[in-house]
Amino acid sequence: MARRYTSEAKGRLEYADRALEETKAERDASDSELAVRLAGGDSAVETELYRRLAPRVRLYGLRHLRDPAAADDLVQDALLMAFEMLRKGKVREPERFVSFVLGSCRRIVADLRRGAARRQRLLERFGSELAPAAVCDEPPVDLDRLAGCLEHLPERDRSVVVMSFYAETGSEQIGVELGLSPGNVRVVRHRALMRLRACLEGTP
Amino acid sequence: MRRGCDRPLELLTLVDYWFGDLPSPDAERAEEHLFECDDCGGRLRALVDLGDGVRRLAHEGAVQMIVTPSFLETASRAGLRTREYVVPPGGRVACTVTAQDDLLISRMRADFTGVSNLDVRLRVEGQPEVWIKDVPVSPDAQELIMAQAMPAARALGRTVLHFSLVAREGLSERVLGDYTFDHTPTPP
Repeated sequence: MARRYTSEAKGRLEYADRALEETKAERDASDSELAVRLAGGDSAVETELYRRLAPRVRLYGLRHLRDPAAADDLVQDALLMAFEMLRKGKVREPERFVSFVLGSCRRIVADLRRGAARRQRLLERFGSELAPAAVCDEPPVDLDRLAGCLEHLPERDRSVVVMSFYAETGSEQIGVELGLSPGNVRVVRHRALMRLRACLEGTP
Repeated sequence: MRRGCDRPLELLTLVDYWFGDLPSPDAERAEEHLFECDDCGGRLRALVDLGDGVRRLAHEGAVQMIVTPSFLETASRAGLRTREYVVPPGGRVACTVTAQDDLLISRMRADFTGVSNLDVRLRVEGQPEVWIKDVPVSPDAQELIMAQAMPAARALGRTVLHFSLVAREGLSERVLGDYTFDHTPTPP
């Protein structure tokens, strides 16, 4: 009985070791290697590939759509379609799957923009207004500390940073409104963000 | 095998990419790199997190800042309730802030033609004079718009605040206008 128990436990341990080794191998594999394996029917790598690509797609979505919910939708839409095509062998070069996903994201966002442009025209015609970028309820930074860091920025730097993030205004428009050249806005913004980051990290 | 990033994007490139200030080919190259590189993606995400924090603080009126009409339009679209006081040069206004206000805005009118360097002087009786140096303003603007820090404004008792807009040209100074805000707190 004792021997059987030991044997079962050993078996479980070996199984766990194998699973860990496989997971490590998947984590060490390149994106291309994982995509090629998934295209070849190895569904075990799908989770790892999704885990890598989802944050990249979301970041792309945030950059182009400026809305967390829309970025989440993009992750679902782009990756569901791309993985489906990869599994069905419809991606011509599986080793370039990441580029394929980026291309899919660009197409989806372009379609959304065309829809948004139509919506914007309708809204302008009927007098409503588009909502500004969403304000995150709990941003993952220490707000008290960030407020202190913002207060320590020179007035010009603070205005440029706030205008950039809050009003989502590009360097040309900020320049017009604050009497700066677009190049100067970019320099001030970069310098201010470096200062804020250093202040938050507690470095001089 | 996965490797670390051997050609990390510069912070300036990441910032410009995020705000749409990279020329199209450079933006596409940055995007392709970000789609392959989690190191650079992580750095950009940290920047985005910082921006979320800044947006939150601006939305709450947590800090005093010089703003523009674009800022006020964004605040209005976001549904913020803004209390504004428009004061001409030499003007005086009775002002307050209530619990219902989200933002307190001072609009100090002046002619900024030819002004390249502007400072703001604040005097409050019994307190040392405060200078806000190198305030950004367009020479074409007709007013300086200042969002007051809401926590400080709400905590303010009955106070008279004297602001002056001072243009600096070389070693000389020119006062564009003096503005008096006669603040009375509103009981909660």
